[in-house]
Amino acid sequence: MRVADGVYGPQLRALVAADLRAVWTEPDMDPSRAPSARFPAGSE
Amino acid sequence: MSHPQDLSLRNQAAAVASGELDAAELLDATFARIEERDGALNSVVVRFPDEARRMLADAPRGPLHGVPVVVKDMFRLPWYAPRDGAPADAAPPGESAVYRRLRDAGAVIVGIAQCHYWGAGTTGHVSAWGPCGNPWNPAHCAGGSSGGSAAAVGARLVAAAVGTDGGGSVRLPSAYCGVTGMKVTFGAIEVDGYTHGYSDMGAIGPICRDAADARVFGEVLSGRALTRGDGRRLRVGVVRDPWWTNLDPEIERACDDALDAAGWERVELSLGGAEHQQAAALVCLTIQSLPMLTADEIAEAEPVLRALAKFELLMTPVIVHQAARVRSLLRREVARAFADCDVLAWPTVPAPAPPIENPTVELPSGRAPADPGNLRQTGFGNLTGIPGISVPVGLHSSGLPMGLQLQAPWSEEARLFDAAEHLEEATGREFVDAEPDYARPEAEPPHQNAGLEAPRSYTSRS
Repeated sequence: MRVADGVYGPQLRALVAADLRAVWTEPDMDPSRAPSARFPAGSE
Repeated sequence: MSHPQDLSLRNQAAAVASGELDAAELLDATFARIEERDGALNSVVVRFPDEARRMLADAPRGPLHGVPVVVKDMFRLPWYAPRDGAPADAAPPGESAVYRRLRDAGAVIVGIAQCHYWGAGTTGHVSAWGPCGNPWNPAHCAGGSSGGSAAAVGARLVAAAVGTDGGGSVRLPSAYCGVTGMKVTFGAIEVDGYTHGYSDMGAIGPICRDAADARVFGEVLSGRALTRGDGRRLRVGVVRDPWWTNLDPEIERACDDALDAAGWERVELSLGGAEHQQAAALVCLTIQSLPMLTADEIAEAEPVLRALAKFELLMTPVIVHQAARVRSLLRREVARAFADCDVLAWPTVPAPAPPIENPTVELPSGRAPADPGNLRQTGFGNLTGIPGISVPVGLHSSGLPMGLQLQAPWSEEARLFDAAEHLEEATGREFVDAEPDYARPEAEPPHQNAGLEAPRSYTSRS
């Protein structure tokens, strides 16, 4: 566990701490195609 | 004629179709070559002499009539239950979509290719089947999780293998083994009967010796034409940070030289969210795969993967939603980037294949496990869903291959094959035609994983 945390922990904690409030998720996310233009990207 | 497995996939198919090569003789020669060369590799871990002869007897006159292939240990076959590289069956026998595509094309499945335990690693050194050796040096990893598929093609046991790619598992072993492997656009190859078909990160892909073979095999697997175009005049997007940083210097130079040789216009780009893409890929892979495992399977798993699974079980809902936001951001960013370039390019792996005994790599930042750096190079394609191909671009001073990754917009697989074929031509086919020295005296069988069953014989259930 400690080894796994040493390898991945810092980046996972950075992801938790990242300010992504301006990013909206895609409610219709489909990785087989480009993002839909039907939903806004957020306030970025 | 030289050994028929020294022929390309398309030349094998043409020779059988013209009658120049007898399909039954090709099949016998293939099993003989597997027997001769695979002892040092452990790439084709289950062999189907009886089922292969039955497939050949029933094979239609399709584009791969009578051509032997192998599939990764993640596909249901009517006579075989896939194991995902673990000790127990992951799904019952049955007809996967990949099986139907191969059967209808007239191909002959000769065996199962080794796979990293649960498909959850990029080295291939952990598997219930035992580790898989690299054709260029069997003491080094073939890669993962489709290591057996890449090693079997690299050693010329077969000309085509099916792999799967949830976080780089086609592209990474292809780079390690000096072969050409593509992760198609998410969903471009039907996932029915693929043990990780539940995931929106995973895609299936062809692994062959060069791009022309991979195009033919990709057409068979996807069931659509991937028409040849012109790969000479492309705009290639280069995103320095993070994908061209912290690399083995020889790999960085080889990939840079390959782009120079191609003569493509370079466009320097940046992508918002790229600094979190590796963590987001790990989170997305984890939250989709862990619920597929029982507590008993985790408790009984190989020790390193058991520890990693327990660590991942501690992830919080907040990080899952953060990862989803990064994923959406990256998808928008890459869609925007493709307005300014035709393909993206960066090294497939940051360092050449590590030793099986110590699967760590030497990077400018220091010695590190191979997995994190590998996932950093390839997880982006799985998060966004775009297709990517790894192309051989050189041999490292260690004697191991190096690969360049090219990525294109959704459904533009043909563009990647065009680019890869142009790159091969621009480098005089030096790296796709390179062949390991099979007679090397230091070629020893890879060590088996202690304490895990490594079944090498299979009893048909049909």
